[in-house]
Order: sequence, then C-alpha cells, then structure tokens
Amino acid sequence: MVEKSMGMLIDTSTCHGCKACQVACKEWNGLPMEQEIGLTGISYDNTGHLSDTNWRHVKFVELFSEDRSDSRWLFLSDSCKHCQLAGCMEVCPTNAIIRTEFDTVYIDQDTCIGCRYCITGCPFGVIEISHISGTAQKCTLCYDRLQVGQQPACAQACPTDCIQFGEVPQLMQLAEDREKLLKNMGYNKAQIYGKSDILNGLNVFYLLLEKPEVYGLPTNPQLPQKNMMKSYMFSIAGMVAAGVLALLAFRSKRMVSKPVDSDKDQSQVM
Amino acid sequence: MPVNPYDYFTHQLTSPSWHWEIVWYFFFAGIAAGTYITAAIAQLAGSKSDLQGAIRGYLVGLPLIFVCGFLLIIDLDRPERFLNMLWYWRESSPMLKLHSPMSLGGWVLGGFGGFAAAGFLYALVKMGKVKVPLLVKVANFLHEGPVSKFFLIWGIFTAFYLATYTGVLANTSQLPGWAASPLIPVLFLASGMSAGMALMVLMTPKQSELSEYRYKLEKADKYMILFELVVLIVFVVSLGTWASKVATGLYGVLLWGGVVVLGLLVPLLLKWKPNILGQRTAFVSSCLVIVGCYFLRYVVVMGPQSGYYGF
Repeated sequence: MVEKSMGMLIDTSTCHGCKACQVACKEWNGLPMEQEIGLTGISYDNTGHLSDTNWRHVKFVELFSEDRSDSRWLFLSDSCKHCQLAGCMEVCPTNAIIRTEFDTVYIDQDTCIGCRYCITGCPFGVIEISHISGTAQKCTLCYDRLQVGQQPACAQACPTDCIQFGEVPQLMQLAEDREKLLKNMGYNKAQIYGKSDILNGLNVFYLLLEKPEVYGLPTNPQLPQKNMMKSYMFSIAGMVAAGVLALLAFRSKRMVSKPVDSDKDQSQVM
Repeated sequence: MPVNPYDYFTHQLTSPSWHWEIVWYFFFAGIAAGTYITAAIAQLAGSKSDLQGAIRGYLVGLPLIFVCGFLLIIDLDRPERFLNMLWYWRESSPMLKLHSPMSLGGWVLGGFGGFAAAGFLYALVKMGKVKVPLLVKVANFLHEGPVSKFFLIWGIFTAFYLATYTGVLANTSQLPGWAASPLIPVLFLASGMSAGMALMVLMTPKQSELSEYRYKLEKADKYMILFELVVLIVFVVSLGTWASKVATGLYGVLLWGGVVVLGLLVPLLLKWKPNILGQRTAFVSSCLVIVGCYFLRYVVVMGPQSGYYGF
C-alpha cells in the first residue's frame, strides 16, 4: 500500500559532476569496486554505465562545436527512475520486483531468480545481474534509509543540492518553478523529463538543459508490453498458416488413398 | 566520427546476456512442439497408415521437455530458486502473470509436458513396449477415446504456444533488434515445425507400408520450409535499420549461409530433386533443416544483444 509518493528531482543545471552521489551510493549500499578502473577512452566518465555495482552514475556529456573551438559539459546524475509504469516490474516472472509503501520500485533479493528478463524490460538500461549475489541489482532509493525517515545517501551527499528528495508532487512544483527561472535566464531548451507523459510519470525525474536524447534518455519510452499484443496476433496468424499447411499435406492424399483392410489393426506400429 | 557513449539506441540499453542455454532451449522447445503438432495433426487428419509413422513423433516431446527444463534452470543465476517461477512464497499462491510471457511460458511448458508425457506413453503402447493394462487404457482413452479429438486439439494449441512464446518473449523487450519485428514468433514456429518434421523423417524407417506417410511428411516439410523462407525474408525487411544486427557480420554469415542457403534452399533443392544424393537425399536434407533451425535461433537470440552493455 503506497503511503506517500517519494522521489527525487535531479536538477542538472546545478550538477557539477563531482560524483559525490556516486560515492555515497557505493558506500551506503556496500557496492563493490569494479574489477578494473580506468577511463572509458572516449570521455572523462570513468564508469560509463549503470550496473550492478553502480546504482548511480554521473554522465559527462561533452559537447563540442563543429570546429571544436567551443565546448560545453553537461552532467546528469543517473539512476533508476522508479517509473509509475515500470517495465521491469511488468515482465518479472516471479514478482520479485515490487512497489514499496513509498511508491518506489524495489527488487526483493530473496525472490529474484536471476532470469535477466527485467533487464530487457527496462527502457533506461538500469538493471544488471550481480555476479556476487546472482540477482538483479539497481537503485532502491535507499529503501532502508527511507524506512527510518532518512533521505537517500546520494541526496544527502550532494554538495550543490542538485539531487532534491521529497514528495513527488512538491518536487514537481519545485521543478516547474526552476524551469521557468532557467528559461528566463536564457536556457530556452530547459525542460522537465519525467512528467506523466513518460511512463505515467517518473518518481526520479530530471530538469534538463538540453533535449533528452543529448543525455541518452529515450524521448518516448514505452512498456515492453507495447509489442506483446501485436506479437500474439502474429503468432495466431502463424499458427493458422502452419496448421493449414500441415493439414493440406496430410489430408490431400487421404481422399484418394486406398481403403484399408478393416480386419487389420493398422494403427499398430510395425 | 567519435562514438557517443550516451547515444540511446546504441549504448544506453543493457543486454540480458542470454547465451547458449537460451539458444538451445529455444531450439529444443521448437522441435518438441513441431514434432507434437505434426504427429497430432497426422493422427487427426491423416489415414490410419499415417498414424503408424506419425506415432514416432510423440517420442520426441517428453525427453526434449526435460532437456528444456534443465536448460532453463541452469540458465538462471539462482537456479535453486526456479520454483519461484511457479509459486509465490510470500503470499502462498501460484505465481502466474499473464502479461509476462516468461511467466505464462513457464506454465505452458509444464502443461505441454503433460501432453508430451501422454503422447510418449501412447507411442510406447502402440509400439508394444508398454503393456501395463492401466497405462494402456489411459493412453488409448486419451488418444483414441471419445475425448481424444478434444485432447489432441488442446495439445496442439499448447504446443503452438510453446513454439511461439519464445518469440513473443523476445518481442516483449526494449532491445530494438528484438522489438522491431513482431514476426519472430512466426519465424520460430515455422522453423520449429520444419525441423520437427525433418526429425520425424529421420525417425521413419524405409518400409513400404510407411511410404505414403513418408511422402506426406516430406511434402509437409517442404511447405513449412517455403513458409519459413517467406517469413524470414519479411522478418529481415521488417527489422528496418535493425536488420544489421542479424544480417551483417558473423551473424549475417550464419543467417545467409547457415539458415537461408544450408537450412532452407539446399533442403528445398534436395526435396525437389530427391535423387541427387541417392538414398541419402532425405537424410541430408533433414539434417540440414535441423541445423538451420539451430542457426536461426542463434542469430535471432544473439545478434540483437550484441553491441550492448553487459553482452
């Protein structure tokens, strides 16, 4: 039973890429180091992707002009979005992915069987299987901290308050005010990503300075079930076609086959 | 051009990293379903002499279902918890989510196991290998009794679902190569049935009494290969820009060389000209169809996962 709809506003206009949130997440949740540490080779981003050991990841979006005389960095502290319509939760065959009393999406580690189907259901590439626990891993929005009235570790550690934690309706109001302010300051592309048009609303949503695709966010993410009905319809059509073809082959000669000797049990295998 | 690590369609999704266990599972499930459907249709619509041959098809489903179950369990990262697919311990209730193809598929696999077991027993009874009166009675009641048509039709529908749901499962995902075309289930069905029929050809002894059945089976397989070829072409076209995931590079070689040429065109030629390889023509043709069925699943399962994080 949802008591309060808790979530986060990530205001990318105030993020300066310090990765304190990423470190705090790792520390609080006891997430292990990667096997290798190094730069990705194509960015100053040294983790590259959300994973079983990186439940939070700060994206370094490096934008250059054509002649590379001008450059601009954008940052986005990324994590699970705790979607209202959560693809991972919909496809999970064991109900290991549940909605908590805080309206967040949580993976029950005792129920998960490690089938990996939730990975294909998430439109944001959030989930990965841990090679240690063998179960699906992602941000819990610090469920353990929420239960004792604390805010998530990342929000507490953020030195610029770009990660704001609270009740979603109030955060949305804050985001809208901030969006107006940014537009007045000349950031014409400032926009909120995660209102009700995106999977019925994201509990962790973003105030962006550019279009979503610049940050690697899908413009119109859908539940994986979007394809399911069409797929079943084609399956039925395929069944009819295959069934008819098999019937044609086995029936065609039946009409002209010689009558069998009724005294002999022809169904006995020779 | 520098690679954009944050390009959504190419870099932001994560691969489930399904590997050989899933490819083999899809392959065996397709053949198990294909043989059952063919045997049951031959029993329902064919002549009595057809049943003598088709009965061998019932021998395939049950062993393969055990293999499928084993593969599905070892594919899990927590295999000891596989019963969580069927039972929700927290609420002490059966675990069934109709909108999750994997959940429904788990139940249908079990359901098909029942039909496959009954068919297996029936085949053994007809071959004179089982003579326990109760078992003989049960097997004959289910396959020849007053409800036999109903039983076989339900069995066929269950097998059809088993053959197609693996494609629906792939379709119900975010990976563009799996989600772009709704034809994956039809493709898996056609290839599973053609491979199932090919296996039944291999299992049919060259006796004169079975020549008519063999002729019909080969004809059915020919129809199914043609059907698969058409579906495959439409499938690749319908993938649009994501066709490169299956039709180029290593996967392209396997698709065009392994599936289209070796698995479809050469068998078709051999069926059209049955004397090319003499006595071995049917054997070679059937083996190639089965190999093509495996390659198809390998390409469709692995290709669209490639290039994504986690693969």
